[in-house]
Amino acid sequence: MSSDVVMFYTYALVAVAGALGLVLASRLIHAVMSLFATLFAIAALYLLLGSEFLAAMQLFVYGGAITVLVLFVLILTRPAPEGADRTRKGTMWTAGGVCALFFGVLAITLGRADFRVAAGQSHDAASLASILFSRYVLPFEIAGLVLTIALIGAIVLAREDDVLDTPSDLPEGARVPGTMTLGEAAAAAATYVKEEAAEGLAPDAAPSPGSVPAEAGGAE
Amino acid sequence: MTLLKTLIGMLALVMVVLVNTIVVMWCERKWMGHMQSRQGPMRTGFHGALQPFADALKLLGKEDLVPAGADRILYLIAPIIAFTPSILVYAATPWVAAFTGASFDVGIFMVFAIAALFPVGILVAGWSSHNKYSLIGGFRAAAQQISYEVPMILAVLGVVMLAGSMGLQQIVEAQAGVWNVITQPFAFILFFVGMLAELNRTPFDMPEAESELVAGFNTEYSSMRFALFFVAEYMNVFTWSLLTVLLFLGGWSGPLLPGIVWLFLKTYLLVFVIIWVRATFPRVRVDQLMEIGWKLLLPAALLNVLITAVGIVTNLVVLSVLEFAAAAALVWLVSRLGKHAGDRVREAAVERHAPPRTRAAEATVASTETEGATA
Repeated sequence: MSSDVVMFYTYALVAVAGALGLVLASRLIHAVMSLFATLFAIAALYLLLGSEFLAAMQLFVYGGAITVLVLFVLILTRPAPEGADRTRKGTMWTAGGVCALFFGVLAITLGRADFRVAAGQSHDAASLASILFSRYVLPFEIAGLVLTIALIGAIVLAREDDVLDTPSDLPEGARVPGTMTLGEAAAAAATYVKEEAAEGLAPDAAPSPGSVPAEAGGAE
Repeated sequence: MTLLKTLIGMLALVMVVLVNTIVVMWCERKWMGHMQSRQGPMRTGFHGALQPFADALKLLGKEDLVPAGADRILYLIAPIIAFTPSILVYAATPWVAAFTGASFDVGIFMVFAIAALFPVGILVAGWSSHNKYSLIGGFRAAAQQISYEVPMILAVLGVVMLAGSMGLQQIVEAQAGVWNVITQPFAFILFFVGMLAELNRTPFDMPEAESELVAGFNTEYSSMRFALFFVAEYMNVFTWSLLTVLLFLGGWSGPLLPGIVWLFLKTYLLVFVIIWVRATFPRVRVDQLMEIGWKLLLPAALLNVLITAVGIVTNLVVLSVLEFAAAAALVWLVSRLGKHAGDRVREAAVERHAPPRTRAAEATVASTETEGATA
């Protein structure tokens, strides 16, 4: 066996193992790291096929950006309690059927496809760029525009205005005893920073209530 | 036979890189020492030359701890994920014209793609440690590296436009007449600042701000797993210095001496500057870091692309003049911003020491009232 074949099977094995790990892992973060392994192995396969630009793109966008993004989201959001995301039997059968159908169509199509590269057709970055910015410039630009609009939309939807500025908007009964709203905490922190050096006193050496919570022994 | 040759080449490359990493570690300790009127390590070997080896031996002898509550598998593989890209970059990096690694058609892009994997290891390390300082450190490192990659890549775009190729070999060859630091000084400054952030070096070392975060993402790590992070960091210092030399300082070109000597001289000059920056500047705040990255460096890098395009359609002299003007404008702007920030700090200090019964006192009264309402 040539070294190319050995390398192909090694990376293919990693890719398949990663994909299985993605589906079978019980913790989401392990699933993400399995996906990372798969994406990495696929980049190596692209490289083995001599498609350097595609390999770099795969590493950059999927291996780096997408994985980090998913990790951020997973770590920042509250995890579902253990066992809460078990799917019901009916859903499982439907999903299995759809997957089998999709896989079948994919297998038939790929089996019939002709993967020969036309002679003299190079796939380096320069020729890719000249195609992308001449023949396909309109779809390329439209895709960019659509993604920008999606990004702006996501920001508008996710944005919560004036969280820090208007604590008084809260209904009076919504307050948990012994806690501060964000606005009060910010005011207390500002008071602390502005007034006290290290000794918990105002500049005129008077005790400064309000900057230290009563529970922590601050002056009432 | 070719396989054997490849393997030997790879091994030699890794050894060269590791030796240089050790030298960079020693340089940092000695140079920092002298900059701070200390001597640095002196007792192990000639002027402490064997200190890094002694450190490695000490770390090898330590217990490999896994904290309780940590995600065991991820905790154990995170240092490997973080270390691999650091060494993998050298697959795409040429040293001299005759020794190139795999000479990729998309060289510098491949380097950035591999470097983009580094935050994954750090994030996983921070998360799996089950420690809030590690987690915050991991977040800061990942956010910072992602943010500063954008202006860095845009700054390199100018160099790529001039060379007409993304291959590092071709970029160096294109600098045979005049180095890119002359025709692209603006891009050089942007790239260097971005590089400091990418390396988590002062003044952008928030991920390891010891006064806030103990040691950042590697707080819980001990033994060789800690050493992997440590070595990866210093290896990255050497790597990015080398890449800067290739991109902006003419690579291995220079008179009289052989190319490889020039390459190392220039690389260690940049290593020195990076260490010098660490000895000189205080750390910036997290919000300042993000503002510098997105509001200053990103637009500046876009401007650099525009200037380079203008230079290419006119000539190199125009390009050089425009670039130096833009670089001077950037320096002036940053110095103004720094002065403005300094003035604000001074005003705040004056206000703090002003006579009592100012608006600070009113704020106290107001917060007392709200506290009363809560109780």
